[in-house]
Amino acid sequence: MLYKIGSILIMFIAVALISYNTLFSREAATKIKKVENFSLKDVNGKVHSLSDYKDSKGIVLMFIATQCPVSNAYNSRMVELYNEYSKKNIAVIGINSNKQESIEEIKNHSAENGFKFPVLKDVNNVIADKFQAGHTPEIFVLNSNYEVLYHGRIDDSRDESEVEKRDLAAALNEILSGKPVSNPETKAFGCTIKRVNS
Amino acid sequence: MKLIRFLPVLLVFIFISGCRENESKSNSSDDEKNRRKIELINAEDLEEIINNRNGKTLLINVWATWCKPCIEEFPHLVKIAGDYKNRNFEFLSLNVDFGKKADSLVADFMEKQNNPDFPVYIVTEKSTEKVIELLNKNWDGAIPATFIYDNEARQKSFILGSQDYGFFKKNIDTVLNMSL
Repeated sequence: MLYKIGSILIMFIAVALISYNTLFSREAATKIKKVENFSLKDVNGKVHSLSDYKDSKGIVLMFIATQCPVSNAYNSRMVELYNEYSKKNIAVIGINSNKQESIEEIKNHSAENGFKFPVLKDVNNVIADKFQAGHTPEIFVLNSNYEVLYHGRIDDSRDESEVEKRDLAAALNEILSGKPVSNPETKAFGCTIKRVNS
Repeated sequence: MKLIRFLPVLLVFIFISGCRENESKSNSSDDEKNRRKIELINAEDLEEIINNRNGKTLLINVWATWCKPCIEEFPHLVKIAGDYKNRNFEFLSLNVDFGKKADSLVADFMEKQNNPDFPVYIVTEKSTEKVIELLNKNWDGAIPATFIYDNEARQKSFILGSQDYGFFKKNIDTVLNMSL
């Protein structure tokens, strides 16, 4: 009898703990270390695969948006980044995973802001899910084995005149010098990626 | 001669205009007085608020005026703050607008929300990363985000994305009941 009561009690506690976690914890998933090759179309319908950039010294993937003020605050800095690092054999690619931002809108946004780098449309946020990307702008830098060398922000201020630490540039410079990235994970506020199931 | 005839009319006109100008100046200074002063906060001061519980549960909502889902959930949080005002509960609004106009954007928004009676702070730009880490190490900085601490400053709830009154109420009630 006591054994039965004990079993019921343990089951009750287990159910309570599961409910507690469901109710309280919506924590972000663990950080991604490596991804598989994938393909996405840019705004002109051209297919881009990670494997196309395998010979680069690094691949910068930038989850960006057309309507997010934080992402837009970085438009000119993204262009500068492309200008500076594409000639050093670093691939720079934009990815738009927001469900409400159409290909046409992304195309116009790229033209208006002088983006020379391709912006790929991540239909149904499949790639954002693979990277566990949560917001814009959010950066991942990969090596030729698609391992994540750097994840986080472009720099330490959304206001360009206040920038003190160019975290992404620092990481790219270290990669180009063959050094390990000293600060591989940084954080910043940004707009939530609007997913198909949200 | 004509000028002398019109002089009294001109003086009355100048007098009225002057009064109107003073009146409008006085109105704008009233507006300034009613306008909410938004304070800045850094990670250290925020940590002190979190730890200084005095037996109260704390809800921190992180938002920005540029964030549409934040704006959508804001009225639900205003109602929560009002309904739980007399409970062992504190509400703190943490804004992450940026740029030189951040304080006026926030003050304008709070005015549209009828200046609810809870503290609103803007996170200083240089404190961004520390604040994210302080609030939850697993948080990537996407907003809106809401955190609920029990009366002993233990984080019991980490809510990502826009929610409604019922969802917040359920979470707060559970933490309040646990704190009894």
